[in-house]
Amino acid sequence: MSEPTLAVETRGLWKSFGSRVAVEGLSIQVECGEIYGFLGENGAGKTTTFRVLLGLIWSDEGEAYLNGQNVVPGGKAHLEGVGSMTDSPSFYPHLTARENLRLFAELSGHVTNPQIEEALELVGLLDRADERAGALSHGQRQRLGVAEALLPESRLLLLDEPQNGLDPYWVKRFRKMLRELANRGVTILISSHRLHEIELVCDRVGIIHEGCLLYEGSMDPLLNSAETVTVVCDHSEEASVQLKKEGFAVEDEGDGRLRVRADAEEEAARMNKLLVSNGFSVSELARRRVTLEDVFLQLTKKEEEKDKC
Amino acid sequence: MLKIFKHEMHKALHDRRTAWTVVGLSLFSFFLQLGFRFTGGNPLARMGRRLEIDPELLLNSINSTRLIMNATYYVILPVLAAMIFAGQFAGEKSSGTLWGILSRPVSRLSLYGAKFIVSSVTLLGVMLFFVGFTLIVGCVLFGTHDFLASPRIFDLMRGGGGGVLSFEEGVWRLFVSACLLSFLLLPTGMIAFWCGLFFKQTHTAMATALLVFFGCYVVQGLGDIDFLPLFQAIRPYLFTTAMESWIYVFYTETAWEEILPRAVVLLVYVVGLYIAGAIHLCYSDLGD
Repeated sequence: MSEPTLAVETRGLWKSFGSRVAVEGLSIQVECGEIYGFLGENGAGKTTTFRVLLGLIWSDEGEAYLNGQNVVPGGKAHLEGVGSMTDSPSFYPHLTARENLRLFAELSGHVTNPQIEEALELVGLLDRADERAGALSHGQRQRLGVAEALLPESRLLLLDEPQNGLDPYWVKRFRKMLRELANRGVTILISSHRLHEIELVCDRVGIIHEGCLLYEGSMDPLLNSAETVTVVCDHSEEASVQLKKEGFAVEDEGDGRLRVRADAEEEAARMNKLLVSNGFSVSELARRRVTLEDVFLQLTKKEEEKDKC
Repeated sequence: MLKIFKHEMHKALHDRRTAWTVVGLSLFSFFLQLGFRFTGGNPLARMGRRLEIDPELLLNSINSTRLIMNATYYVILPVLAAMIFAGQFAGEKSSGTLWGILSRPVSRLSLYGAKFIVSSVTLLGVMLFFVGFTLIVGCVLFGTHDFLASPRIFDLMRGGGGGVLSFEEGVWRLFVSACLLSFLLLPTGMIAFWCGLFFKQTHTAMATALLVFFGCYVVQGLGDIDFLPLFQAIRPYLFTTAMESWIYVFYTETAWEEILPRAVVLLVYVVGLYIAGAIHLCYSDLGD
């Protein structure tokens, strides 16, 4: 049998809790070996999707596959070679970090002592391995959760908000670790609110809003599609009207700041000329690269406006 | 199945709640027997004087142990069984570790089976320790005398039983009754086990199971009343009625003909509750 090219696939997934629709016809595809960022606001349906993928809850409609295996709730074949971490990993508080790690990892197969030591070292918990899990801080439990997901030898990692509670040092180390894992051929599906981190580490993203997929694909078309220019000038409201008249897309950020879309360098120069020639006093004009956060907010805002209409 | 069984066993062996329960039961048994030993007016001594029986045949380590088992099996031991079984799923749900287990390639049916076996073994272990500890304390305080057999100790007052059995025979009977008692407590445990699938908190699952238990106990009591034919008809099929069967181990000749039909009733309860719980687990979301 040939190896599947998709590590994760969902086809028209629906899941409701009573009258609330959590996931609405979701179809995503995560290719083997890539890092896929799954983005959405709180309650967008990310965790529900993770739980359906792991077979913890039933979907109402649609299909899901992990490593080519159909996800059957309550089944176990689809979980072979899959490591996962839920939004807040839980451990037996009366057992040590090492004991917890062994206990959970052994459910997936044989795990050796060096493997456990390596995982603990990777997440910087080797010196606290013999402390009770209940005594670990939130951030340390998150790291232990990552170590747990890595054992025994996961080909696919499903990480739901793994950076919650991590300090900046560990956020950076975590980013490096994800890259190393991807270089080793591990596929990673990660959800996070830290959009900057996602932007730095992911190959592709899926953006979900109120259960619907708004975008799926590489980040390049999103980030390179437009740049913005921040303009600070007097009488910003009038300046905004003037710029809009000339066909610029303008967003008033308040405090006399305008954000104007400018795809080419000449656009910024034209904008400056226009404002000065109309008597506005421009104190700042700076080109700014569009971030994933801008795109995310723009996409989800658009959807909300559509809903209102 | 073996890996999940190992997982559950490891957890159970490190669970301090069970250890504290055992300590509590042991202290209870110890102080109760101290009371028997140093209170001249205790019920056994009084009964011995009244029936003109050799006091050592009545007040000895075997009967003292039986008396404590008798005092605990309708209140303390069902609570113990409910506690051990309720925590299996409800406890894991409240701590969030159930998601961690089910995110691994483990079948839900194996998990269910492993948890059931581990709970049953824990209950049996606690029962054997409790009875064994009580017997040892009894031996120290009262010595290893022969004893007077009867289904209930106080049945001697009504002329029930009455054969003298050796201490060794008594130890064997206590062992059998401890094992039997663990089995008799299984329906209560299984109700708590199943409740653990519905509720996220151990104490809620436990309280619900005990509510069912005491409800059945009340209905069983009503079945003793002659003018309540409905309750009389139900009575033999209640698991609380069948729970009494352990006392028949202490007939002069163990009355298996009394024990087995009741054991069958309980087996039906255990199997039925096991299947119902397994179906629930395998076909439910277990969502928040």
